[in-house]
Amino acid sequence: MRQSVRIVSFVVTLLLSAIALASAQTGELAIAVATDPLTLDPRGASNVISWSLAYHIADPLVGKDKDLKIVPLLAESWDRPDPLTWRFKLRRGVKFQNGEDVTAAAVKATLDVMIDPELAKTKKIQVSAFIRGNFRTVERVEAPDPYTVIIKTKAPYRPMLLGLSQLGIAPASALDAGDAYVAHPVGAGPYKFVEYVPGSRLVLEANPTYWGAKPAFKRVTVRIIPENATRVAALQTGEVLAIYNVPPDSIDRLKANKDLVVQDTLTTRYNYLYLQNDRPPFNDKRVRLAINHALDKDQITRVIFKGLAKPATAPMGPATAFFDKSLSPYSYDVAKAKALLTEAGYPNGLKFVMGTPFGRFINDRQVAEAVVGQLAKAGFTVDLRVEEWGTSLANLMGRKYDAMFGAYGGSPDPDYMLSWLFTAKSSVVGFNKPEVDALLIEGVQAADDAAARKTYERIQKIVWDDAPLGFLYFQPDIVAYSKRLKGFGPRVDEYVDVRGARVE
Amino acid sequence: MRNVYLRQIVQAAIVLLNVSLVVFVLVRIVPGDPARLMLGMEASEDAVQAARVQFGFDRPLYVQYAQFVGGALRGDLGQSVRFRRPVGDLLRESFPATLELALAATVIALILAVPAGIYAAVHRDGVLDRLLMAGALIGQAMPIFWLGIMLITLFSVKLGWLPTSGRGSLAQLIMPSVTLSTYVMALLARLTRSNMLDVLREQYVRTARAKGLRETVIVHKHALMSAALPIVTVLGLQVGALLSGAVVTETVFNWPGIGTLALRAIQQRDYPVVQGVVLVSAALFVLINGMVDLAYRYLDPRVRLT
Repeated sequence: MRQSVRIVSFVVTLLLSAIALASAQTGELAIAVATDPLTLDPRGASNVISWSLAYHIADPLVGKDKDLKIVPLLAESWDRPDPLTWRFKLRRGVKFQNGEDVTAAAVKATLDVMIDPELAKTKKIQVSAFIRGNFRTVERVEAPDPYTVIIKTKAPYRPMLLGLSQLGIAPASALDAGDAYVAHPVGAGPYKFVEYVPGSRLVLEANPTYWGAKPAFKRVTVRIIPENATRVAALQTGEVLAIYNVPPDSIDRLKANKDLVVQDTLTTRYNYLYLQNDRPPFNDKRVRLAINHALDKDQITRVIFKGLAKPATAPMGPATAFFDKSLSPYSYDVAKAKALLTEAGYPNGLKFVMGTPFGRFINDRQVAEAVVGQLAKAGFTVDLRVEEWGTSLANLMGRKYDAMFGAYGGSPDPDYMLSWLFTAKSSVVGFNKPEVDALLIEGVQAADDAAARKTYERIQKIVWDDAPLGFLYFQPDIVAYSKRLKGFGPRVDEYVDVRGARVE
Repeated sequence: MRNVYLRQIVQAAIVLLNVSLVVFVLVRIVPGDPARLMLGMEASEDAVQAARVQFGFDRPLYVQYAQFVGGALRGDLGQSVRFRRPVGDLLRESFPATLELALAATVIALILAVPAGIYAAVHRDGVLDRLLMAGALIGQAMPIFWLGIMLITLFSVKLGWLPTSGRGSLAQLIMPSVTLSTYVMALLARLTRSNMLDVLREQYVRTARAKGLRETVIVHKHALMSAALPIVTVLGLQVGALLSGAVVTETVFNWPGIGTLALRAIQQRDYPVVQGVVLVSAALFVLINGMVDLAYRYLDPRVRLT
């Protein structure tokens, strides 16, 4: 018996090392992520995992490096002849993976479907609202010659380049391909789509005709492993060389392994409580301030996030452009919170309903439960409703509860997030300040970054002081990977990115 | 005899029609909106409404239901909202994975549980009997989610013998199928034991012994044949348990079967996929129960007459 176990283990070990060796020779890379992409169509991607995976298949006109600096991709240069016009010169001789040429017509077709809802409807193309939002001021796109693209906007639009960096360019034929394109996306990126097995893996293959630096791997497998323990185990066994969404409670174990690197960064994401600003009890600023003083941010970041999260100090993630470092967090002060509540007419405390998604954000449920406990000390009685994301999202949009735990991330420019949350027209927290509405337009139309910075700092100050949210913390992006993997790490825009990675 | 088949087919059709109605209503009662989930929280209400129209979710419910049933009768289960592909294709890709897993689990359960049950019955109240039955009790009570993670920790992380997850090689099949097999293994062992005990007390067994037949012949030929009947029934009924156990097992081991597909579809409110998975699983369940009935006729001559 013992002997047969030994033989079996020997054979298995031999097989596994043979497999490992084979994969090293053929330049294969396997990584694991926690969630499926919603779609790999660059035009339809509405969350980070979707557009960052699509980013490997389809190059945008411009890209952003890990510090969010704009770099040329399909466009080799650009200028802005007047505030309403953006002109791009395309790289010549670049081909899509299906052999079609990368021309201004393809860029125009990709953009047209983003800016024209009727066209999207007729062609049955699901367009990402997030990406479309970046082009809401575009009036028309012109292609005067095969290598020139002109984007005309109705009003000056400062964040155009960051917006374009999120949109992979599809070949002209994709416009009429309908669902076939979604099932098999094609672009001019470094990796070609091979197969996608929902809930299991996405397989990519080096694009031999890529215009830029040759991709480092022949084959890239992105395994989708939602179960935290299994994902961590896959890294420990070497089945994958990197994992995203490292659960904070496994960090110590992974750090103890000398072959692995655990790295974290703060991102454009921040976590907060949505409060309904236009109805009782949170239409009273004193009650909102009481919430902010009753929240013990330090305890949450220290205990639940092992010190990797940081208490929020502004109403947007720290990696967002024009982030204001000068604001300070609301002090944790239970006495002050109680006094504010009494002043607002709730000397005996206050009861409200709060929702939270479960399994959507890192440790979401633990945070919500900690929040309930903290608020109780200041006299709030919170009726917590824990729901899975589909239900939670419906209740967020329906503004069903007085408060909700949530987060925002993925937008490197402040405009999109701030406009969504703090413009009266679209605010899901009932925020309504004409002054902020006007400033948001000013910020988006600003002629240069210096002017934009001044505007966005003012917006942050107004929003921060008004406490329309229960500000919580900046959530880190944590990745763990093998020391053999170079040119890899977490990004402040939370991208899953192996474009620059290689194995040594 | 032909009447029996006909009746079974009619019954199956009624069951499936009911299932289709229940799943159709259930997925729509649960709060959540497939269009909103697809487009994200920043999408305007106009854009979300346009998507609803494109998916056909704006039509009256009875029209949607008629389309669902009408399509299903023609073998068309509709289009996945999320994957933009026919539901039939998704099912064809993921069903074999689940069947493979369930079949391997059943085989493992049979190979281990039936001999264990027989042994325990023959050596009733012996040390091994008590150990086996205690083991069975623990096996039945153990959350398979936890068991799966423990197996991964031991065999993948500590010993490095088996891959943690995924599907493709035989090595990847071992841990998920063992995990899933505990669902039925413990039950099967206990059932085999108690049935064998009952049968071994029967008069014909005493007769066989009186005839001087060898004990192994008595146990394996005479007793096991009678004891097998309820085992087959239970195994048939456990198909449902195996399919639902597959959801958890597939999640832990990242196994791309219908459990994984169903879970993703429910999270994303991908109505056509949820409907398709449930309907096809129900059809499979009905089919296997029908086969159990037929196996019964073969194993027990008394049933043939009724």
